Amino acid sequence: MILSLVNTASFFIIGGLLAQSPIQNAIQVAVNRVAPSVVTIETSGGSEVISLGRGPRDQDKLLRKGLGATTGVIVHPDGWILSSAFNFANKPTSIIVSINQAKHIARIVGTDTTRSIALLKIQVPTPQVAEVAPVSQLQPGQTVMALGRTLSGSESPPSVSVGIISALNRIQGKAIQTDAKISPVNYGGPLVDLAGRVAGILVPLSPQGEGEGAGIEWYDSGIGFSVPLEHCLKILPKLMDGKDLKRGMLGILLKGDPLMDPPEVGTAQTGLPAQKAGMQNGDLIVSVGGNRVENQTQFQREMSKYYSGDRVNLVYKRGDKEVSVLGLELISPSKSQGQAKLGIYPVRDDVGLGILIRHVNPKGAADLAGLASGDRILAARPFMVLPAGSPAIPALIPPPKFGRAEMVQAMDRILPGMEMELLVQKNGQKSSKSFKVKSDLGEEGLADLNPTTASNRPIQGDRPSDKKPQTGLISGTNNAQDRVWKAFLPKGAGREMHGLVVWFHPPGRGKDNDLEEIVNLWEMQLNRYRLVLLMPQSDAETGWNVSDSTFINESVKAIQEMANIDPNRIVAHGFAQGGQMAGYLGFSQKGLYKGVAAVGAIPSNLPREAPDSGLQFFLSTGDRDPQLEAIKASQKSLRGLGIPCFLHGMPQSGQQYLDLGGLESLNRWMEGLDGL
Amino acid sequence: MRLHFLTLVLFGGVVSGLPGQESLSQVFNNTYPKVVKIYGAGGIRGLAGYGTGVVISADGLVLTVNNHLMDGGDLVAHLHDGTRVPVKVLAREPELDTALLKLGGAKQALDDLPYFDFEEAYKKPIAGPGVSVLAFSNAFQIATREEPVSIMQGNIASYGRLFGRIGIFDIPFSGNVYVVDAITNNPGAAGGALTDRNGQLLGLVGREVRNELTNTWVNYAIPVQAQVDVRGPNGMSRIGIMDLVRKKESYRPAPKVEKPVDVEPYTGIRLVSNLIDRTPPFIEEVFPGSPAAIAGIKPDDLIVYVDGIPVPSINTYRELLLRYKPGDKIRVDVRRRDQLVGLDITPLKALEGSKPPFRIPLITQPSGGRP
Repeated sequence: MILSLVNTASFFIIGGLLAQSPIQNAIQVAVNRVAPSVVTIETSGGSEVISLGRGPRDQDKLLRKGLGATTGVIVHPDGWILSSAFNFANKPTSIIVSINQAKHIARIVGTDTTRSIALLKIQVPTPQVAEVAPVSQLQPGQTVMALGRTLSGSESPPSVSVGIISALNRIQGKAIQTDAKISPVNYGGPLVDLAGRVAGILVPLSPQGEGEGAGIEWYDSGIGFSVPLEHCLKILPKLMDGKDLKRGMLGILLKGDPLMDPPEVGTAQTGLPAQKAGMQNGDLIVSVGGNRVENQTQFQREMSKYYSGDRVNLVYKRGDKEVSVLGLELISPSKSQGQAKLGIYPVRDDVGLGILIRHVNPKGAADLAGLASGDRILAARPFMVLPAGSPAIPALIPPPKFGRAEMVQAMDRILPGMEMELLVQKNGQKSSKSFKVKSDLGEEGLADLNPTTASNRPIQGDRPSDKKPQTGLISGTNNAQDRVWKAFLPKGAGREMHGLVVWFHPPGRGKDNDLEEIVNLWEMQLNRYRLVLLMPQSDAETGWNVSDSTFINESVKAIQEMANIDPNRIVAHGFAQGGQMAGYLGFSQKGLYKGVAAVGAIPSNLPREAPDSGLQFFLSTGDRDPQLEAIKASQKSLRGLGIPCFLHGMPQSGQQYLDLGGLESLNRWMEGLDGL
Repeated sequence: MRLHFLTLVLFGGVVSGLPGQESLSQVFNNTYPKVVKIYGAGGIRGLAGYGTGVVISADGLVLTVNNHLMDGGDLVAHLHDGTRVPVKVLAREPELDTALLKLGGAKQALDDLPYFDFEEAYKKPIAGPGVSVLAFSNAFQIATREEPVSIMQGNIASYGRLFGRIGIFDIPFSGNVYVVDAITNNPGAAGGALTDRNGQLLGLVGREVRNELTNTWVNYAIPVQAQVDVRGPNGMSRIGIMDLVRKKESYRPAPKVEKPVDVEPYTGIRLVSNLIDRTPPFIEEVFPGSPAAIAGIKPDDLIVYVDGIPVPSINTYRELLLRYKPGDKIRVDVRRRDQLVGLDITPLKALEGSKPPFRIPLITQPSGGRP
């Protein structure tokens, strides 16, 4: 009875009948030939929307993921199947591959993030391996078919879109372009030639971005891409090893116009491969891997053949001299260096000399060097080892002004693993200490900080600089007076330094009573941890827009003018879509936010390169939130970018706001944001 | 983003034909006069006030899609030669998403009106993936009066049930359709002709709809041979467009007997909380002695298929379960660690006081932490 609506096709399907042209017969023969290697992939669970990364105008783009089956291609008889990473961008709970109606549990083994390729493994033999069409035998103009399984089950023929090859070596040489209709209907499926051989795996690709969904906006447009199967087979062993292949980077920024100018080094980043190999600003790269490059486009095309961890030979020109560099090992876009940390926390509102240490992380760099709470740091500089015979370095002396701001600047100049020299005053004795700075990725857990030790302000007595804001629940508007924000200022928000939490409510939960609920929940913590809570109101039912940034910035500025806000503890905090907005602002408003706390949300629009600001992340997810895997993966990618990220897990919870334990964790995390 | 790429093969364009095949321009010249432009009420909620129809008889029978245009009345058709005639709606068949119209006006207006031979088209086999096709329609109302309608070329991408495959989505037509790889389904194109390379009618160009499987726009046509099974007073009947054309009336099933309440039969499975639209159907608890327990279902199993139909979420599972009666056998495939296990559940009558499943709204609300 369940299939009562199914229309049993009482007509058989044309197969090379009637007045069919030879080309149509050829198409059908080719499709039938390759069809057994084209498999159906079903998924369950996963998040509802996926991020497409940032668009050309820097907007955050989200896409609702379809519910249907997707497509893969058998490339090896031991159960190896290639597909597009787009098909799994929503991090599904379960993946099942159907071959001829037989179903097999599959897992993702490796990915190539530069080409949106994913390799799946199933535990049965797969003898129907697709035959490869070498790129050298392809040419623009030849007829090709794009095959997919979304519209057809694993038992019927795959869907077919016919077109021609529009170009080879597109998108930095990574893709074959076709005018066949490429869309989620066939992403992961094959682009097939008339001989039934697979030219490439269909993927969304974009010259602009590298996210899993970048390029989807071109679906069905007549501009579609596939990654040559020949290339995929070359990287197959690496993918089988479980590698996530990323771009290989030299650690240089090129100078000038990417379309017009030659590949001249603008900056060779300190500590990264090119600089370590002796390259400098102004060097002109003339060949990559033995191939001459005359402009930046050619340079990028040659570089796109390599992945991080690969070794490349370079020739560069300095003045009239050509220099060869052999076997330079490439790093990934975001070499996970983390942030340089000493493992100390300064006392706030301190008027004494230098920085008074409030707390030292056990086993941190400073602890191992013998620093303790109560010590004062009077000066700091990166420690340099100079070549023998250089004049002696003058001793470190306290500069006229040295406080938290100056210390933060000094920390910005060093990378983890480098040495730092401090002038420390301990029990009245001054001494110089040098030690290696550690990397922080938020893996150590939260520091054990007592909020009552945070400030050095005496209870009594105002300073002339003190502000006298209205306290409690207040509201204000933006300059244009068409948007409203609310805020809660604890008593003393004008005296002691306060952190600032900017709350981004979920869609439809921005009414006055919703915000009052948030204040009720937070009020005790706001007083205890000395925090101001700012709550801009979104006027759209659908939630936050990127265009709300100006209004939000204005409201932050208003609070900064009103209260004594600690620039080292400004946090964007949100739940669900509000959490995504918080993540967006963290990356886009460089230097303003020191932390992003996203609850039940997947931070999107991660930058390609590690940001240079000291941004940190706090993520929270319920262990039954269908986004759990995606949120865990975000933590990994954030750390991959060198961004410290703490993940708070809530047992027995789905996608929901913080419980009281979570709220306490968040507050402790914020309390540690000004750690050095 | 939706891109409208029109491949307009211009009237009189030179396309060399294959041996035994008419040139594309010959096919065009012979076929476009069989397509009429339809005008009616529209403009509400962005819906076009124009559409397309195909002529299927010398006396002016026209087939089109049963869309909003049919609601308005006062329909007018522009014939290939620019003649304007009133149109009468003879019958609408919601089950087939098709409407049968009759061209009116002065008798001589319809003299020598070219038409598709529907009987002959009906006897032809279904076209398979890869077959080259042409679509004739008044997309975007580009053509007016005697101007020829637009022609696009593409290929059959697939033949089968579309989003209706799972049977739970909002779809205008649940039978098998042609999906084509050209962007044919544009405003005003619904009811146009999908033909093979020789101008033989294959189907009616469908509406503009988003495909739930991929969340992208999909271009489909309702085949001439379209059939669906519908429940009538005497049980199930199979009806097709041919029935509509021959009887000139829609199949009128007796008013549906209101089922008391749509309650899923008792399996004894409690799933995890359904928090968002795509919560995977993990089993939280199996009540001892219940049909599920007897079948061998265990807590923490993940339901992946119900009678072979993929179950991506709890919502899908709930809607599928409503289709079963107590005593039916339900084949359930569950994922248990790294194994797929197939089990048969024979559900019982729903427990007293069971309520229809509650479908949660898309946006979830904070539950914990908020006093």
